Amino acid sequence: MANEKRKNLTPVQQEYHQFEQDRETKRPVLKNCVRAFFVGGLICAIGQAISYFYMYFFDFTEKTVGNPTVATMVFIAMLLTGFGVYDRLAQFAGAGSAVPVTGFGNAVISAAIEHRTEGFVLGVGGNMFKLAGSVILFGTFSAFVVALIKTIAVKWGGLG
Amino acid sequence: MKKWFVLISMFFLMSCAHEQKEQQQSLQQENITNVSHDGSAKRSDQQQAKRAVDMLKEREDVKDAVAVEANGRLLVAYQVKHLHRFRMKQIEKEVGKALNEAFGKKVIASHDLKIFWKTKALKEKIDTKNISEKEIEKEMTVIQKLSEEQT
Repeated sequence: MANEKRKNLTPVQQEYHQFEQDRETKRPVLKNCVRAFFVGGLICAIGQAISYFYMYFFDFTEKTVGNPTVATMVFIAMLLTGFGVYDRLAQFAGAGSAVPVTGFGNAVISAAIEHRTEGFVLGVGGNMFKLAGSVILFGTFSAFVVALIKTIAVKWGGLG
Repeated sequence: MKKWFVLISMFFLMSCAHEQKEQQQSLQQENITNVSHDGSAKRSDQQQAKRAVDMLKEREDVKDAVAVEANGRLLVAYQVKHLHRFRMKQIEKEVGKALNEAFGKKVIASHDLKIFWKTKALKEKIDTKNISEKEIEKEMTVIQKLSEEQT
């Protein structure tokens, strides 16, 4: 709590605040970061292996291999979520499993599983993109804004 | 905690071991290209390709290069060193300009790994089997089309 706000508290409230702070469980920030780093890195290494697979066995170049790799990674994450493996991994790795594109697959399928009892249309269909929808919306919108800024900078700013 | 420490250190050791292997592989690759250079020198129609490879290998940011020529077209594929990949666009521009200035013919230059593999395979084919210029040109067209693909 900010110092300004703490001054306005009554002595009893301040005492309770101190009491709460003493007993609060400390977050293992460093440990979480190390876990996220290794698991996130492992997911990225698997992605790299998949893209090499597509390049080696199919006619994909470095430029075009991104799309099938992302689709495969999301599909694997969806399967693992359905089998209940990804949830355990997410509990262990935290952001390391949520930030890569596999986290998107997990968000879609976990929402679908959660609302399955409400029916296929209103339950699964209506709630599937509850979390992932915002990711798609913000991704598309921020790409539009960045492209707009780049276009303005290239056309009138003389960049590029 | 101890179990995790052991797992993490094992992961580290494994990745270190692979890195060494990769370094060895890339050294071997260099030897292979060197060997094949001698081979291509025998064919009189691959002289400019050899010159292009030598020109690119002089650059500090290029790890490996391979080139094939046929019927007035020169196909050059090169790999950029890992940390230099941040300046990829600039390197691409510089290499393209240098090759176009040095060789009068139509130059197709690419830093793509797939194009590098394909060009290398074609070069090895030229070195080992005595394939005709028409066949080389046919394969070069396929590689060029692949390098121009956007999505």
